[in-house]
Amino acid sequence: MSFKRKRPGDWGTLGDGFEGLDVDKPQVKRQKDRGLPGARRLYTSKNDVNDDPIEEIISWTSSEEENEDSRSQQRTASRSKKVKVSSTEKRASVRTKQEWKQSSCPEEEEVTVVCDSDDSTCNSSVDRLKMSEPVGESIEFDIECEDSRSSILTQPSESQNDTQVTCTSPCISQATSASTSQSHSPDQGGKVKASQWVKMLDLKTPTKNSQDVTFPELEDSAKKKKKYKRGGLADQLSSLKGRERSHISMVRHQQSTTPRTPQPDTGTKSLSLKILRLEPLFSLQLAHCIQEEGESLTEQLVLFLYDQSLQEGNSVQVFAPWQQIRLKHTSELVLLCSNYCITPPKDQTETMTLCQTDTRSKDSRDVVKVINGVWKCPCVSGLVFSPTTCPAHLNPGIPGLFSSKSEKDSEEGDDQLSALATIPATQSASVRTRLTKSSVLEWVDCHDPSTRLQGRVLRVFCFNTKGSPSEKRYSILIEDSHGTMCQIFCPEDAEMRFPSVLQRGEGLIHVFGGITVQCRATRDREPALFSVIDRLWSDKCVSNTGSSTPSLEESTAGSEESNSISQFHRTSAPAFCYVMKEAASEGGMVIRPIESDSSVVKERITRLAHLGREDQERVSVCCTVILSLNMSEVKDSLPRSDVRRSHRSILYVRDSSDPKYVTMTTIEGFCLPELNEMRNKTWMFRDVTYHLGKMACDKYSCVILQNTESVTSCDLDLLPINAESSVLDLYSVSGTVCGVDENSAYSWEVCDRCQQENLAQDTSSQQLVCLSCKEVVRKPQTRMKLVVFLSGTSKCDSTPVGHVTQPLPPESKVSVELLQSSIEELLPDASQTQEGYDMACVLGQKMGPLTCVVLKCKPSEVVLKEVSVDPQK
Amino acid sequence: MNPAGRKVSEVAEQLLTEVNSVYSKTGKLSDELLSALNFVFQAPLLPALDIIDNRNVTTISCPSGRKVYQVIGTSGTPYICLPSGFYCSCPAYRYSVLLKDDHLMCKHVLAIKLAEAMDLSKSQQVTDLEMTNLIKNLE
Repeated sequence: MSFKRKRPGDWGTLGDGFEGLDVDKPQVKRQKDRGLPGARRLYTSKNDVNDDPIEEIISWTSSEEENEDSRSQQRTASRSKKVKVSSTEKRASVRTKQEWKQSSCPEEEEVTVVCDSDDSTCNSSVDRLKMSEPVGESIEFDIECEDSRSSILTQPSESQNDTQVTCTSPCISQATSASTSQSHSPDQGGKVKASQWVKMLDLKTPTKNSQDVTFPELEDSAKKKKKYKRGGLADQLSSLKGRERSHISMVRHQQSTTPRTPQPDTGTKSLSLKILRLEPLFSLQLAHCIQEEGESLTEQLVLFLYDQSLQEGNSVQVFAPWQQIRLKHTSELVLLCSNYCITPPKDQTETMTLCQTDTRSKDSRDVVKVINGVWKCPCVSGLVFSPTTCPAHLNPGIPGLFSSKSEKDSEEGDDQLSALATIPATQSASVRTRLTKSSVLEWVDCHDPSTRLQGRVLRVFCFNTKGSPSEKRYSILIEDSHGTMCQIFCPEDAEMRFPSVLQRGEGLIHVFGGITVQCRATRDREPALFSVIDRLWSDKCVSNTGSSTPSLEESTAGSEESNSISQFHRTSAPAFCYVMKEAASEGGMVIRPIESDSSVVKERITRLAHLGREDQERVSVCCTVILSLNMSEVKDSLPRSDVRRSHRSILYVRDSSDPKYVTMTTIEGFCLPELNEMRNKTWMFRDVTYHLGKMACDKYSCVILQNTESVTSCDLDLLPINAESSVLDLYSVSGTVCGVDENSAYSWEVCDRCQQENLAQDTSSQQLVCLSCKEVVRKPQTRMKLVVFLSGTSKCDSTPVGHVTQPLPPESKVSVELLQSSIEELLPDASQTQEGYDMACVLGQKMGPLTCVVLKCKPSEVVLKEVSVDPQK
Repeated sequence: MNPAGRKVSEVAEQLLTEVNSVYSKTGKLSDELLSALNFVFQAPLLPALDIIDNRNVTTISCPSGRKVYQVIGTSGTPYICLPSGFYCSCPAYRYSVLLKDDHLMCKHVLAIKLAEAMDLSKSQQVTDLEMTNLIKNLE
């Protein structure tokens, strides 16, 4: 912007139209500040060069007159001092309602631009500009404003003898425009139509350059305003609020049209504060700040109006007016602040240029070789959109890439250096700077995909997809600082990209980037997910209240943030959970830990004997798998109404707390290790569902191998088979062999290495060859299958004390599919028989007690399958 | 109330003391003080001042010494409030003060506090029985 001034025109004809203006006669106009509060009055014209000029004073508001007191006069006086200081700068940054003073004298001609708010309570945004130049010379100076139309121009008119003042600032008030109209009139030399005159002004709505600046909406101006009692307190407050609103609008406009960094010397009183802690309450925010006064740091309590953009760690420039109240009880000063701007952290704007020595020291210029380091991180310069591929990300120890050059080189172009430092680096950095939100809702509201989300990882879910059961997928459940939950689905290659968070990230705070909201899950839509959330929620509640069930191990998440979260937000469990996924446009998901391993979450383990005591859908148990069955083998035995038919496997587990076993089925999606590997090992089953004595593992459950010793199954307490036996339960069976199912009695040979039955006989060598191993099978193993019918099963003496069971009816036909070991015990030595076995040799033999799983249990028929729970077998 | 809430309450009390001091001396409130009041009390302040301008705050006392306040709101609804505490039976108290935690107090209670500070409330004497009925009818 420029301000050009030629000789003044005729200001004395204000209000008389444009006729009668003597354009040829140079007149020197002068306005004097009569000692009235300059910020509140507009001097529009003077038509006399005498010592007693006629002034036309326009008062802005009625209340301003009331507030003309000695204080405002002092302000005016202090401003005049500032004018002297700022006159050398030839700069003005605030353009609000403007007071023009135009004066001239034979030797010196002064143009004073006084910009002030009409807010009587505010004198902070006043900038003045006073210049002294010889008459007739054209003056041009820049005003800090990005919009070219936001300028105050004094430019040569067609007639060189006239001075024309043109004001086209976007924030020029009505009164200023009036003065502008008069300044044009001399050029016309006659009548000018109002429409032409308006066209000449070329008034346009200012364009906003502040696309990245968002302000909260002000009060609806279209709303019908209530009229208050004239002269009353409400009326006074209403007009005061109006002035404050307009002042805030001005300040915002200033913020949007000037660089957001605070100006070093604008003559405006301001405070630099750094927010340490922020506590929202009553639509206010109490901030514990550190005031940066030179090198000393003082603590300061500041009350801000509620503003989402304020965050802990922000640096805030607070402008006058502010008010301070000293609290009686604590003698603390509390600052009430409504006029402020958040300044970007210095490391975001300044660290991009790293000048390691003072290049301006002329004395050392000849001696010291200066290394000018320019930040060339691809992330900053915008060359790389994926932060994961940025060298700074890959090698965090490297602060950046430096290019060095000698001082001679740099002498050639300081401007070039600064352009390198500021334009590409800071500009890109300011655009590419990734803010981090600690609230999911704020993160969602900001609509900026580059903004990152910070939260504590509560759970890492590993699950199988339906299409590829062997492929592992991951999702992460996080909780933000406000207790809002969020499930983030990781990409397919997450295991390679984020191994640390997937393996050791639980309980730690991470920052997530490159994610987008997929949907919002509710309890109705995702009851399984919310049962996990409820469990986590209740765990926090338990840890907060300090109560613990004797049977439970206390779970603690021992960070301060967790405690603070729980302090405020543990009233009710969340009703929704954001579901997020990797954003397609942000260069991939980014997960970075920002917390060390200080907070270790100890899982709350429920003993099997205490299952059902808690009102929880999900529990975590630590137990030994004594038996595992593939559901496909036994599901035909289940009735069609049994939901377990769709499950994948069934595990029989127990722990040292209970001599009984508990069944646990695994649902599709649950990442289950090999069944054979699970047997006789102790595992922690985390977040398994428990309902009516049955546990189930779903995609939100997790199984972790424990180092503790497994529980032996020798003392397993099993009921004898009885009339009330349930399908897929284990029972103890004893009886006498009364028959054999000949159709099912057969044997076959398997490979001694792979236990596969894919054997074939080589026609040439007559040797058995395993088609799976591609090897010759020298000692094939014989597998046998035999189903026997038992009688006398109801005469079992092994019924535990206290259990009353209904014995099987005598007519019940009990069939048992025996294990290989039992068959071998039952049959006579194989060497004695060559052509099979005689049935008579097994009839009448006593068997048992055998551990059997019930496949079918009807009064007339009971089908059992012997299983082995002995770890030695 | 948490520590931060106590700080704001202290600030509010301090401002009301300042109101008492300034109004008793000058008979009016300065813009600076009004601005500070507006900052702390926010939306309820303007209607509260309107209530005071219309002299709609009445101190009801009885021979036994008990005292309650009656505030007639902008809609004409009378609300009975106790001298201590911030309770009011108006919907704004339930929503903005209790539920949303937006404001420290509703406009009626704020009007009482300000009227008390500026001594701008009307006075009315009732019998003990009437006072009992008034308190009994408190929601």
